[in-house]
Amino acid sequence: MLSKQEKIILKVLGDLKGESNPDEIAKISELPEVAVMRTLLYLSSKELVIVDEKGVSNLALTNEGKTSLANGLIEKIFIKGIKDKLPLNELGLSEEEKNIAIGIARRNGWIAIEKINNSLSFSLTDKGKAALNEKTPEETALEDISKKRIVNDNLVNLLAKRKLVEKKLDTVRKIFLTELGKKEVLKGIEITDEISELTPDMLKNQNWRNITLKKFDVYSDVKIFYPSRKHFVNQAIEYIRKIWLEMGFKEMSGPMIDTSFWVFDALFQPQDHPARDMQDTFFIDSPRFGQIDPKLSNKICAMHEHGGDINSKGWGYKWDKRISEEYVLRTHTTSLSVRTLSTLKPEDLPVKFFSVGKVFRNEKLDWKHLFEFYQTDGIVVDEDANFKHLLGYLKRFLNKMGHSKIRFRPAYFPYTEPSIEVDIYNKNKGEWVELLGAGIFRPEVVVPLLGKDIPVLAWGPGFGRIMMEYYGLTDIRQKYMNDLDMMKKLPIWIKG
Amino acid sequence: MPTVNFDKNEFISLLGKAVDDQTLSDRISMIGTDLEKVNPEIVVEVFPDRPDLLSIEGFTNALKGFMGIEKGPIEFNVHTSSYEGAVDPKVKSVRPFAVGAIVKGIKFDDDTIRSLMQIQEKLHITHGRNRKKVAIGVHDLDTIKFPIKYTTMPRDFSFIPLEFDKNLTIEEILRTHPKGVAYAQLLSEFKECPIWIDNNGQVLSMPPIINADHTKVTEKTKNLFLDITGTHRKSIEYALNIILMGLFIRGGEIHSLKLNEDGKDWIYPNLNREKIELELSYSNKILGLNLSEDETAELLMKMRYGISSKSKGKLVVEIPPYRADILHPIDLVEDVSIAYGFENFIPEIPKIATIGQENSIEVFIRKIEEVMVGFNFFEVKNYILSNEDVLITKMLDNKRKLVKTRNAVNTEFDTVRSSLLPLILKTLVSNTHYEYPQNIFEVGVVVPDQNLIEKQYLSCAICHPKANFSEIKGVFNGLLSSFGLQYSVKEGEYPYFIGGRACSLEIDGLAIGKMGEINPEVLYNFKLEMPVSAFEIDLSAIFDLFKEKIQG
Repeated sequence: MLSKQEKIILKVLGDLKGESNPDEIAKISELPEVAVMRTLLYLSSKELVIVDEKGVSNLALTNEGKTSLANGLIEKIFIKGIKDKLPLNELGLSEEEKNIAIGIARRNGWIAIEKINNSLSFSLTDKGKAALNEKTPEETALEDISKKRIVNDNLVNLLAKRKLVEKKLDTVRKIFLTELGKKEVLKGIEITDEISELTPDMLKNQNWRNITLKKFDVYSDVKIFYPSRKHFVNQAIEYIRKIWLEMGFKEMSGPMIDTSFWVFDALFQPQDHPARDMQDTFFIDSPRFGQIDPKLSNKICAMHEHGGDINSKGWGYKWDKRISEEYVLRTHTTSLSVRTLSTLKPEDLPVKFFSVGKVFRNEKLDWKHLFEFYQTDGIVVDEDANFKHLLGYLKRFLNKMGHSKIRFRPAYFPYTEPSIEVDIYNKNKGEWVELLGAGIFRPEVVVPLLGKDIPVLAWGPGFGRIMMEYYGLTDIRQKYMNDLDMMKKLPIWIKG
Repeated sequence: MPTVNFDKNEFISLLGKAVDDQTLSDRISMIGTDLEKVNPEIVVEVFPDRPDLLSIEGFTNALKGFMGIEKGPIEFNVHTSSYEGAVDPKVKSVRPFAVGAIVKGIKFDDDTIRSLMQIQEKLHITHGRNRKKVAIGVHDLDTIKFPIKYTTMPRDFSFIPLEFDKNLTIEEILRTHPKGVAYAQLLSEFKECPIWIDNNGQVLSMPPIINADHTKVTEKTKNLFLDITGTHRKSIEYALNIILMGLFIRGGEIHSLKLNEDGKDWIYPNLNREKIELELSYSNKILGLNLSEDETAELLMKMRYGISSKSKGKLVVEIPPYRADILHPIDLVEDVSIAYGFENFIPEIPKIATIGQENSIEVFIRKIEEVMVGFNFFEVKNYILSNEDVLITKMLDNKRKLVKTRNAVNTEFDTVRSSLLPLILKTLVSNTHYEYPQNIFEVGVVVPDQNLIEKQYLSCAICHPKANFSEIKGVFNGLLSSFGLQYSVKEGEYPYFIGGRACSLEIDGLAIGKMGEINPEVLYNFKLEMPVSAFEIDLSAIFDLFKEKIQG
């Protein structure tokens, strides 16, 4: 598809037998020179024309040279002034020019100089008078140069010394039609009007058939439009949720502000456990205490104090109900797992649950630490589940998260036994990195809630790190900084 | 978790076998500790359930078993002796429990001293909960005149504390001695403080603060007396046994101490192995293995247990006296799995049918987000914790009762958010240098008041030079109609909206939110120089109205 200008120029070239130059084309097409050049480049990129460029050294008049050509050389102005008996300072020459003019006039034998009363007096010689009516070789040369005629080198040098001419490097372009271009011309070129925008009117009256839309420079930069989107953390959460759902897990939910009972005691964490310290846990000021189910609390109390009615020693201390009634911001979503277990009936099994939610740690905010972050937890409640199954689920789960090289290591959590730490291999760092904790809930946790010792497989992967890596964040606080500019430039989460 | 550092040469020498770094780092990782490095020294993080691994002797003892260098339990030898003491009933209300033991024939080279100091310090911090639960004193036995007594003394009682050259009263120690200052709060509520004292009236120590200078251990010391006090009898016994294990491995000779308490004699230390029954079928079921009695027994011996008997699918397992973590047979099962090697289990997914299912409110929220993004609103996300200044003061909304935390480290984030609107405004303030319009929304949990009922809210704002009520109403209208919901408005007064340009939003007569142009006074408080119109609605309430529809 050729633009209107391209068509015009091709037509001109065709008329000129396929050979021309930009000046000529501009003259004939009546297009501005810049437009001709730009269009020629487009045509050449379409291989319709060849633009042949050569550098040529050219003589040109300087500004002074141009003035001299119009007004005469200064030596001529000078002798004319003498003839007209004008005072020397009214000739419009500078002191320097005047001295140069006197020098040249004297060398040429145009003037006679007398000294009268300490000042110089000039008079024209016959030669001088004659010179007034004829052109000097310099004048002729100036004129020739301005008309691009060839001029004697001595004169050129003389004029160059007087800074009336200079040597310039010019580009000379010759334009040829290529074979393709010639074919295009032969096909016949029809020139129609060019329009910048299509309008509803044109569509209505079908005028669009008679016009050509002006070409756009598709390479030029434009203002970028960024799409609105869900928050990038939520995009990653959706991905995690999808993994759980695909593996047949059912979502569980529960409070973010919960009693210590569900966050710690039901998970068999002794009441003097360091994780329950004020340093790690946010305690609620008002209301300070919540209600706990007395029947369940008795069972948990017995389990802590002496292992209840199962074959456990318990922790062997005096359990305090009041401590378990204190409200806290949950430190893990495992509180939801134990809440869920407490509602299950034997006929519900086997069943698998997951949760995703905010958890809280009373830590100083810095580039590595947040006081609240997302955690996800999953449990499998199955009479026949075992340790190998836990490893199987973990392996599948991590494969889905994109980790193929993984390692299982013994670990410790107060509420699981056996406990596993899962490492993934970081290729870039060449080392194992901890990713998640897992285990089988202890009988001390399960029996009071389910009434029976059923294996409950549990794991809780962190996904903060994969989120940071995916989005290329370097400071964990960027997650909740809500910098609109940064957020709209982040990539969309496409893992899944 | 406590980190411990072990000298590598000493470690290898106690291990009794030359091992390369690769094997060392692999085996230490797989025994159940977090290895940090093996070079130039060995640094591991010990899990809090295994205080017996905090000493180099205890750690190498466990590793020797795990690596098959040695198996079964350490056979301790306790010499019965005539060392005696008494526990005064007065200590009951202060620091009720005390145990002790004598160790003779110690060669005090640098390694032994360093190891003893390290285990004492680590036990204090972790197992001893910073000396509250367990505190340990080490004395030169030959400076003590038995029988000794664990009692309490008034605060004007004085003795020469460690590294001092004059008598200080208990009160002075607690106020001026560095250790006294550091741990004073452990005794702050008591009129009398715990004291170990000998038959000459010489003080041994003032637990859990400081020893007396008189009994201090020097390079000439050969025989030790260990005193351990605390608030939990089992915990102090374990601490004693853990320290004795280390000294025994170093060649120390353990002698007993008879302590009379409530007219009853207690003999310490008790280094007998408690017995626990392990059903083979239980272990195999949990692990998904099919191990025989012999194989299981062999694995437990690797973990340094003793086996008293094994027959008819039952093993009687002897627990080493320093293992504080064995509460239930499941703890033995874990050790079987560790000895078997986690790397040797074949992962397996059982064929059980379960149905995945999301909470329907999550589905609803996702749809809300999709519609809002469709309106070209950008989703933002703020912390759940905020503060009173943002939630109330700047919003001129002083009627609310907020849910505050008691102990937040970051005072800027000490209150659970009661609404999203203030945070939406805060977000706009932090983006004033970017181009307008800025149309944003947030969906998330709020806790409106001290009833602690958690709700999902949606807050949405338009912010540009011509933002007004009509525009935000148009957005709200479009949102609700997307869900096929009808609503009505009622003109209302809100401190944070301009009077006459605000309304409450209702569905079937139920108030579900509010909408309006933000009061310039509020914008001024937030330092926002751009008009804002906004609405905030209770998604939980709307969800309840038509959840049947969503659940299909």
